[in-house]
Parts: sequence; C-alpha cells; structure tokens
Amino acid sequence: MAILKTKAIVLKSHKWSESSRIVTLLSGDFGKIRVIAKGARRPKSGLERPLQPLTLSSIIFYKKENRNLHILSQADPINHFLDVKSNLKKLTYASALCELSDRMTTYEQPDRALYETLIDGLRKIEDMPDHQTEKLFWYFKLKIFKILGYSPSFSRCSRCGIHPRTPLLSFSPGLGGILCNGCSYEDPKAPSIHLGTVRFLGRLTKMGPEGLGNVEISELVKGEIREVLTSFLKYHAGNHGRLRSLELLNTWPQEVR
Amino acid sequence: MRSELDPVAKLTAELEKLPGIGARTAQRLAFHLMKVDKEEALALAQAIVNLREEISYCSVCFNLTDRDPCRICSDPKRDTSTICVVEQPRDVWTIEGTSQYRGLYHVLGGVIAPLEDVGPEDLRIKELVKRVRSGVKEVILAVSAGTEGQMTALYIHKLLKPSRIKISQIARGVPVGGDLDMVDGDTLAQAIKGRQEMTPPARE
Ligand SMILES: [Zn+2]
Ligand SMILES: [Zn+2]
Repeated sequence: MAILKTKAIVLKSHKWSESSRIVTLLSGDFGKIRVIAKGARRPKSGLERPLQPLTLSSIIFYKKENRNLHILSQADPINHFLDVKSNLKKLTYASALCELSDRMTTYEQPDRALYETLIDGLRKIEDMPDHQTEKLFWYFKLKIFKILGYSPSFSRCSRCGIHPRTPLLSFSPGLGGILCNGCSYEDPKAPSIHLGTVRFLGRLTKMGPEGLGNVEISELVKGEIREVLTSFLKYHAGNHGRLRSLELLNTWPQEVR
Repeated sequence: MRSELDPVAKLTAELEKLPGIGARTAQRLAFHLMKVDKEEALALAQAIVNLREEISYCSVCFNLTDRDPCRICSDPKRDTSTICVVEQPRDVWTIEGTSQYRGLYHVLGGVIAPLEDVGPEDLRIKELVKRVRSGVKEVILAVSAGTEGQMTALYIHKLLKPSRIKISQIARGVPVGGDLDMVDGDTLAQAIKGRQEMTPPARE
C-alpha cells in the first residue's frame, strides 16, 4: 500500500454506511480515482467541504494495489468555485463538464491534459458572466472531445475533403464531421447544419470563447450546435453520453430560461 | 451443506441487503436471533410487518405516516401558508424535534444529483410546485448545504420564482454538506430562525 498525495477535482460523491462517503475524483497524476472517506459525514471530520462535488482539493490517500477503491486519509480544499455554485446556469454547465469527464473516462488512466482542461473550464465558467456560460461549455466540450481522441471536422467535408460553400450542409457523427451536398447521401440521417453555424464552430475551436467577444448567437445557430454536439457524443458514447446535467435546463419554465 | 431452504442462510441473505451490514455481521445477527427468547425475535418480525402494513407516504407532503393525510398535514393548528422543503422523512423528525417550526413540510425524497443519475423527475418537485399554487406564502428550503443541495435549492427557486411567493433558505449555521440529522437541535433551530430570502444574481 502506497501513500500518495495529489490535487484533484471532486466529480461525484455519495453517502456510504452511516457516516462515510465514496468519492470519485479526477486528478492529473492518477487519472480518475475512487476513494472511501471514512467518517466524512460527521461535522467534525472537516471532510465535508473538500469532498463536495465541484471542489478542487489537495488529497492524501492510501493506494491499494489491484483495487479501484482506495482509502482517503486527508483532504483540504483549494478552490470551492463558490460563484459557480451560487448561479444555477453556471452550476448546471459546470456539472455537465464534470459529468462528461466522468462518463468518458475509465479509472486510473492518468491524463493531465484532461484534468487541466476541466479545471480551466470551471475557472472560466466562474470568471465570465453567465450569458457566456453556454458558449464556454461548447468550447470545453469540443476540447475534451479532442483530448479523448474524437475531433469532429468543421472546416472540410469529412468524406471528400473540400471546403464547402453552400449555405446548408449536414453533420454526420459517424463520418466524423460535416458533409458537403455532394457527399450528404453517405449519411442520409445526418442532421442539417447551416454554413454560418459551421464557421462559428470553426472559429470557436480556433480562437477560444474570449476570441469571439460578445457576438450575438441566433436561436437557430444555438439549436444546431446543441444538436450537433449532443448527437456526436451519443454516437461515440451511446447511453453513456447522455448528460443528465443538461436535461435540467429543458425543464426550466419558459419564462425564466 | 446449505440448501436454499436453510432458514439461517435465508435470513442471512435478507439481512445482508440492509445498508451497512456485511456478510459476517448478517450471519452474527442471524445466530443472535436464534439464541434470544423466541418472543424477542418474533417482536422484531412483527415490528417489520407493522411498519410495512401501517406506514406509507402522506399523499400531500410525502412524509412517512400511518394515516393519510399525515398528522402534521391534518393538524388544524399548523400554519398552512408555510412549507418547509426537506430531503428525507427523518429531516421532518429532526426539525419537529426543535419545536421551533409550526408550518407544513414537503419531503423531496433526495436531491438532484445528475452524476448519480438523479434528476428532478425522480423527486417530488412537480408536486411541490402544484402545492405552492394553493395559498402558500413562504417556502423554506432546508436541504443539505452541499453542491447537490445547492443545485436543488437553486432549481426549486427557479421553478417557484414566477409564483412570486417568499422563498428562503435556512441559514448557514448548518455546516456545508452536512445532513440535517448530523446537526444538533440548537444549531438547527437557529438556522431556521435565521433563514434568508434567496436572491440569486440579477442576471439569472
Ligand atoms: Zn464532400
Ligand atoms: Zn403530510
């Protein structure tokens, strides 16, 4: 058994027996890990705050070989992301990023890029006003796709490679990106997407959300982006790619969305 | 050799399904029940039967009750204009224990936890929204103060805001993440008294 120390973001945590918790965290050093925190739910343990989901903490744990449940011995919070946790929109999208990182990874596969991207995403969601939150979410979702080895193509037709110029194209999750009109027969079920949306996604990936400034995005473009990103994730992850956090948004009453 | 009909094995298997009980404890309990007076063992069995046959969820507030509506919902002395929203039936017991609160309750059955696959449709949130439409003036959110509790509180606030009632959250005397039943009575009574109206950022 080795004693290890690392920084990690708490993805999820559930109650275990009368007073303990089982916590899933994402670290840069060890990848996604699962630990049991004995007595964590007793107010005096001091472990409730550092082990809340969406908290960056410094942890010490005993690593058991050949097991994927280790024993937590200490946890100290580094960043609570309190501004994220006091705004439902920010909290929902931040939770969706954690959910994506959880659902798309297996235990103990170190991936520093993924860890750093998730932290960066949470920081940006915290720092930028909430009308920017969804755009940030799209950007980081695409970045996480890329890190995990799936990168949809938005500039060239994924079958013939031309830069399409017609106003309406289609997006094929299976073929890995957009299809020009000449190739669209390859995936007749692929949802359609406007050239403007494709260009927007291209710029977003290249320049990042800050590079785009305060451009207004039409409801049509938003709808197409949501559909494209959701279908791409579903194609690669199946039911695992269903982000429950985002489903919350669809249940907000119309007048307060 | 153990067959499926072996009563000890059968009881052990049932006990093992209980939270916090491992295989060894289950076996110890089974042998213990064999050793004690027959009356004592049968009293336990009868208590379980009574629990399941006489106790159900109140159709108004979803607290556990032996009659429907429950004693709190049908008590004419309670203030029906205030609803305190809690996660679990045991939170109702905890708050009742402080004798500081005279309104009604609403038991959600948990908190929103998307990563644990718990969404609003798994909780009694729709029922709460419906209840609030009939003459309620204040909703007090007494869910746990962790990330998931906070998400649940913000979400309910979002849903109830159009109805223009007062929505408050119990004060932060309750430690972050702490379940209500981990908090002592005095602290909890203070937290209810010191509740604050929820005012999320203007942008929302
Ligand atoms: Zn083509
Ligand atoms: Zn009731």
